[in-house]
Amino acid sequence: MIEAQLKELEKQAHVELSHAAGVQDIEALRVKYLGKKGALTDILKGLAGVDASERPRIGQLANQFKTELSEQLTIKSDGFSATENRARLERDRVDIHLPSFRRNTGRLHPVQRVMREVQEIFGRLGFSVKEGPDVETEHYNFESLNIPSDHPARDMHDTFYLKMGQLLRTHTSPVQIRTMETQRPPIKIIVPGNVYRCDMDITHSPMFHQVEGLYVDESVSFAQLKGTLTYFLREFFGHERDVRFRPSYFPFTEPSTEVDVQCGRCEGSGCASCKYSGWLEILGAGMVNRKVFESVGYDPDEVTGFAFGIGIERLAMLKYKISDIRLLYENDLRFLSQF
Amino acid sequence: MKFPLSWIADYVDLTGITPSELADRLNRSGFEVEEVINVGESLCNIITGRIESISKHPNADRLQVTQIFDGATIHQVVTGAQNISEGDIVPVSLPGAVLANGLTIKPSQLRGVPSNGMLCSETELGISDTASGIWILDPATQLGVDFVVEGLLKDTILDVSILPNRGDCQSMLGLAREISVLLNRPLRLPPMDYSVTESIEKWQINITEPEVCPIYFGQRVDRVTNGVAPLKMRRRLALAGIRSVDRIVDITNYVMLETGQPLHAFDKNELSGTTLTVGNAMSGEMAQTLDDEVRELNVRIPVIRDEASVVAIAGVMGGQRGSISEKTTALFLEAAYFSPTRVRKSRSELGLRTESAIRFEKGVDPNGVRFALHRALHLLQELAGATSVGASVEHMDVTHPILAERDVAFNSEKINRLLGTDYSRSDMAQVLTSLGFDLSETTARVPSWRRHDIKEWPCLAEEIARIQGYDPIPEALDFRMVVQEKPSRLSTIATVSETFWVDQGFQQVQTFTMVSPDDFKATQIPMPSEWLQIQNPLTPSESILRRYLMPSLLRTVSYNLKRQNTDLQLFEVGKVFYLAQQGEIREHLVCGAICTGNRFVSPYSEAEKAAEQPSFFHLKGLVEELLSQLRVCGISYGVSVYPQYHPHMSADIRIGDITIGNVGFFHPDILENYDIRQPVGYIGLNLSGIAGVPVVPMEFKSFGRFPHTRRDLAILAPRTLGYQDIDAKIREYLPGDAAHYFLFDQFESDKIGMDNKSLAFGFIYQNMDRTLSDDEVNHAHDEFCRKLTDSLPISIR
Repeated sequence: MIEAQLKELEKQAHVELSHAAGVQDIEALRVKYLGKKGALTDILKGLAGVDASERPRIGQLANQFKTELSEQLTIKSDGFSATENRARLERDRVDIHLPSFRRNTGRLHPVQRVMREVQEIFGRLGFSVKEGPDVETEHYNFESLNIPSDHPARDMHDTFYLKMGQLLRTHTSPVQIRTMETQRPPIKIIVPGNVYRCDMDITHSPMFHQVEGLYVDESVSFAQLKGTLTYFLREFFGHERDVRFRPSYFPFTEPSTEVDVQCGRCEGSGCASCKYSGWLEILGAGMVNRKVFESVGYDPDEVTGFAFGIGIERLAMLKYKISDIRLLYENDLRFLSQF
Repeated sequence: MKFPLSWIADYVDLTGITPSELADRLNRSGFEVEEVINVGESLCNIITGRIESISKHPNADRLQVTQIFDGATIHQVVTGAQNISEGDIVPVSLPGAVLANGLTIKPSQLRGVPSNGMLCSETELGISDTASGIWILDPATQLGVDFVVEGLLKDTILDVSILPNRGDCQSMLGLAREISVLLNRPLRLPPMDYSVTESIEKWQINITEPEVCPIYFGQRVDRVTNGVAPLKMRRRLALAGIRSVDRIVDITNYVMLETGQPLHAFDKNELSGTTLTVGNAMSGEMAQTLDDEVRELNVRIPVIRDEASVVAIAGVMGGQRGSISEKTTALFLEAAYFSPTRVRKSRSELGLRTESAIRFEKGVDPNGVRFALHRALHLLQELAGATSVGASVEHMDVTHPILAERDVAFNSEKINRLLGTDYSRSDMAQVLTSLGFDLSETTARVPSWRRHDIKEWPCLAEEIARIQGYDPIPEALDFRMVVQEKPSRLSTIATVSETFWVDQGFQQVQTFTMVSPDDFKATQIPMPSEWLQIQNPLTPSESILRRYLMPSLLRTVSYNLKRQNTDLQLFEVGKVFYLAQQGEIREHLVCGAICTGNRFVSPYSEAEKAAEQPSFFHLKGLVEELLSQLRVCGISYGVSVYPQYHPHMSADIRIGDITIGNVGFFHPDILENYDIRQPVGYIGLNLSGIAGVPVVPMEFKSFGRFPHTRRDLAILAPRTLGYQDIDAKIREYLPGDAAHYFLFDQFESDKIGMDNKSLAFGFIYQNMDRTLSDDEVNHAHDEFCRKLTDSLPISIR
């Protein structure tokens, strides 16, 4: 009797389950058949009238029905909720190929980017940063650097003058002097800053930036100057580039050198950007002239040192392949936002 | 300076060395070869020929038919040239010849008449850009010779930039001497012998300024025939970049280029008397120089005068009176040493950068003065048939420092230590000796031509390193520890600020510190003292040191807006200048940020579009965030009095009593001056000022772990009641358990009356040790609200 009822219930449940259309229908079926007041409970109320020897078997059948239906309900329900989730997510769909929203980006000026990189490379070698005034005196800008007023080398420095011999510094070298006047060796500094010369064309700007370097200690040598600057130039331009040291002349160094890096465009074979020489002039350097040490009260027989000066705009122009220095000071957003 | 290699080869053997190898050796030893110029590279088969006859072309009015004799045969050549006559000797290109432009000559027919070649002008031979006709040669020119060789048409020129300390190499012999050392080949000097005839006429030299002229030699020369200098000399001058004048002047220029010693030839018959005086010009004295200019002189300008007046500006340029002309038959030839500094000053005052002046001002060889004079006398005798008359007049001040021998210490160990090398003493000695140094055990005697340059022993190190090239010197990194110093507070502030603005989407710009008077006018900033004005600006728009960054940034915004870059957020960190007291200029590092337009790149959805037009309060927020990153606190704001700003949308930023900047929107009138018609916001901060403010240390503060309770308070206040007054009272009465509070709504509307405004605050109550009960919070909050309404003209909504 009960067995037949159970069979009938199972058949009916399967029919209803097959018609269920969503998670809610499933939950309703679960209550209807398996709930506390559900159909199975109703049927099992008749268990009392069943022969005791039959009871375990009927009980087993009831449990089997319960487990199987419960599983089927869960499987069906999971299926329904997965579909519903998918439908909900579908409503969130975006076209990933639409353009992005971007905030106007901020960038460092290319000159500052290069300035930071130069400072960082020399920082690794223990060079400290020193700064000094843009408005200088003839004493610091020229005389103490062994450039007396009648020296032909003053022609190389087209100077902007203010009143009473004050001037806009033509290099950041005055800071070397200011530092040596107040500190004893060892001195290992770089001096970034604005410098000024009355000159303007596609490679010259009346205001530009320089990083000057100075290393003074007992027996600093030209070989160390070569090592330091080669390290810097390879770090900055890449290790595959050759570096060349040529003799040159500066009043504040002896011996003096000009340093070239192999042209990156033609790899040294010669092209228009290196004037067919295969080399690009990058910086000037040399061993500090004894006269400079004397002017700051150092004993030139006790210490030696090297100094160098690097034009930052030139580095930036070479690194980023900028053809006209004036682009750096026009501040057109279409230029600046590229860096 | 331009060095024709054929000329250099007179003094040092260049066989087996290509021009580019030589250029490379020179580059590596301190002589930068800027260009290797090949002259007449393609020329060939140009010969000399005489025009035997000229006849009219039967079919063309503008053509002539010539018969040219090359010493063996006659060639018929048709030409369009009009400047020729029968008997002229001219360069002829026969069939097979190649001209400077690469054109190959072939036999041809010109309007029916056969032409076997072409008569050449200087242009076709590549020695001049313009020519007024066929090049008519010296009647003494041999016929049928290879004119490419005869006319020095083919050569290689090295354009070498001579460093300021190497005045000794501003000459063919000077550079040849360097090359002879580099190639280890002997230097050959040119002949300098000449004969002298006796004379009873005595000439005298007076030196009134011994400092100007320690050496002066003069020689009288008679029976000179002026005219045109030989072709070879004219070509050499031309290749070196000097215009040919006449035989006498060309000889003096030739010797100057050859030896580096400028000479001056006076027409002796034009001079008054037999005494020349070297001294300073008189103030206001006038002199007409060779270039026909009449120049006003002064006491700083050294001159040569005869018994009448000034005949030359010493070392710079000769005078019109006493100058050489075609009638000249007798000379007074001057060879002197003039003070480099005096010549430099004098030529720069006169604005006359002559070939002579650039040699004197870098210092000529004191021992080369006599040599050059003798060399010129040799050439005058050889090429102009001249005779030197009487002994030369000589002044030599042996007490002058330039005539003193100079010895510098020669210590191979010191030199090796400075260079970081281990050259042997004998290698060093070999280099120095070949450069003309005279060595002893401990010293090196400097050759006379290097006295201007070699002053101390490191110069010897440079010579040794230079001649070997710098390549063999090792590259060493120094491993002695030098600890990097901590960056200054100011430079840290600058770096943090730059990074902050970049993170906030601002683009860094870089403007000149020199600005225009217009910048001051447009921003109503008073013009600064003349101490801040550049005396020799390149342009008025870069003539004054700036006082503020604001005008530079406004100009940058205006520049970009005009180029359709409409959404701008820019910043600059840079220097400004002001006068602390008479003559004392001070510098501050400041930072300016400027913004206008949208913050997003072309948003296309409504929600995004509504977002980002920055308000005054956005700007204020940027200021506060930056200052907080700089660990500065205690900021307050005051009403800004700057006329550049919108009067009601701007504020000064203060820390304590110090104003460290300002923030706000620009006054529309100011923007008008820059053609800007959209609101522009600005933040200016004085970083140097901020560097002086104490840094708040970074310390952890405990936060409450018990739940907080929020109570809101909405008030109706008179519109005129400032937020500052309300805020002050809130602070005064704020209950101890109110952890913090915030304004979350503020509006004005006719619904609450035009004279009123509504403000709503949220208060967060929290105790550090326990959870507060509702009663406790209500009690404290009610009490607080009561005090607030009692003390302010407000009502609770």
